[in-house]
Amino acid sequence: MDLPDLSRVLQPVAQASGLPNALYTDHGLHQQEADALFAQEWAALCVASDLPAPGDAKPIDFLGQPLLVLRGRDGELRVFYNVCRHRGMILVETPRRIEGALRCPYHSWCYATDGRLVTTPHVGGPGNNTHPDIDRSALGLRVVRSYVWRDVVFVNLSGTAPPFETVHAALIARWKEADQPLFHGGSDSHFTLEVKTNWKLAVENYCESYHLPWVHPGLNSYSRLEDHYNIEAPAHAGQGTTVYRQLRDASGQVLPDFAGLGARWDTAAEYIAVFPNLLLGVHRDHAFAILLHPDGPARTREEVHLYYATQSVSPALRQQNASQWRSVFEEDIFVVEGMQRGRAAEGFDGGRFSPAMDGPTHCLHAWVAARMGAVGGNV
Amino acid sequence: MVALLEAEALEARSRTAEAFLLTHAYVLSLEAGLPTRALLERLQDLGAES
Repeated sequence: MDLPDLSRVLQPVAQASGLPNALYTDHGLHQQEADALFAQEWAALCVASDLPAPGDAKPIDFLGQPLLVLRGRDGELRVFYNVCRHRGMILVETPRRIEGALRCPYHSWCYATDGRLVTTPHVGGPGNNTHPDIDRSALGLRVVRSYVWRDVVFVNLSGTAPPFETVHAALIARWKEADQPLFHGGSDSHFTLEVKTNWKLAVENYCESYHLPWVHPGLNSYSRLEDHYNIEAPAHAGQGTTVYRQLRDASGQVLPDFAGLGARWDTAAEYIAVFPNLLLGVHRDHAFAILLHPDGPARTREEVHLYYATQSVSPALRQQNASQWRSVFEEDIFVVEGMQRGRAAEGFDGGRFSPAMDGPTHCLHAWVAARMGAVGGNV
Repeated sequence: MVALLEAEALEARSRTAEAFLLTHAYVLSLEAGLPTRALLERLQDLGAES
C-alpha cells in the first residue's frame, strides 16, 4: 500500500488528525516503519542486566534482523549481526555464556568475544588455517552501532543517526539527577505482556494521563487527573504527576530512595516514551523500563524491567511493587487492543485530539509522520 | 578430547594429518577457553597458523 497523505497529522494538535488506519494495520507500511522509524533511529533492543558477566551472549531477532548482544572479556557490551562472515550461518541460537571463543557450528570459524575473527580452520585446504586472500582482521563480526542508557541497550541499525546523546540531549538533561546506578530487581522484577495491538498504540496510551481516571481508578484515587502535566518534546513525550505515594509493606517499610534527588522528586514521578519503542518511569525509589517489540502491525511484546537504588531491597517489597505495576499495565490491555480493532473501521479518519490532553500523543504522531513522510514523499 | 587429539597428532603419519588433528584440538580449546599457546605454536611450526 502507498503511504497515505500525512499532512493533516503534522498540523498543530488543535487542528491535527491522528495517523490513518493503514499505519496500524498494513504489513507493507509496517515494513516501511521498521526502516524509517527503527533502523534509521535509536531503537531499544534489550537491557544490559540480561548480560551481567563476560562472555554472556543473547541472540535477538529484531524486526527480522538476527542480532547478537555480547559482553566481551573486557566487560564491554557490543551488538553484532548474529551471522558468520563465512557462509552467513547463525552463530548463537539461544542465550548462553561463551567460555572462550564463539565458534560457528558450520565450519568452526572462531570469533573472540570482542568480535575479532581468531581462526579459520582449513580455510587454505586441509591442515592449512590461513590463506593469502583471507584477511582475518577484515572479517570480524559485523558491528551494529549501540549505546547503553539507563540499562537499556539501544541500536541504530543504519549507523547514520546522530549520536544518541545528541538525539536525546533534552531527556538526558531533564533526568540528569536521576542518572545514577540502577539495580535490576532480578527475575521477580521482569515480566512480559503479549498484546494484540500495534506498537504505536502502546506508546500513545502510555504518553497521556487523560485515560487515568477511567482505566486506572486505583491510581487515580490518590493521584488525580489535575495532578498531572504533559511532557512534550520532539523525540520523547509523556506525563508527570506531582503526587507520588511510596509503596509501604505491612510494617511501614518503604523502598530506599535514589541518592541526591531534588525536593520535587519527593512527591513527583514522570512517565516518558522515548521514541520509537521505549517507555520509562522514574520515581524517587524505583524506576522501570518497558521495551516494545513489534511483531507485525497488530502484535506487540512488552518487556517490563524494574530497577531500584540499591541491591539490598526487601524481596517482599520488590514483589509487591512488581505485582502492582503488572496490574496497572494489564489494565491498559483492553484499551490498546480495542483501539487496534477499531483501526479496522473504514469510517475512522485517524481521530481528533483533545488540544489540552493529547499533546504527548500528537508528539508521537508528528514524529512518525515526519519520518514516514520523508521516505514516502507524502507530507 | 583435546588431550586425545594431541596424542593422535603425535602419531600422525603426515604433516597434513598432524595439522588437521591439532587444528581440531586448537578450535576446541579456543571454544572452551582453555590454554591455546602451546597448540598455536605447534600449528605455527607446521605452517598451519599465522
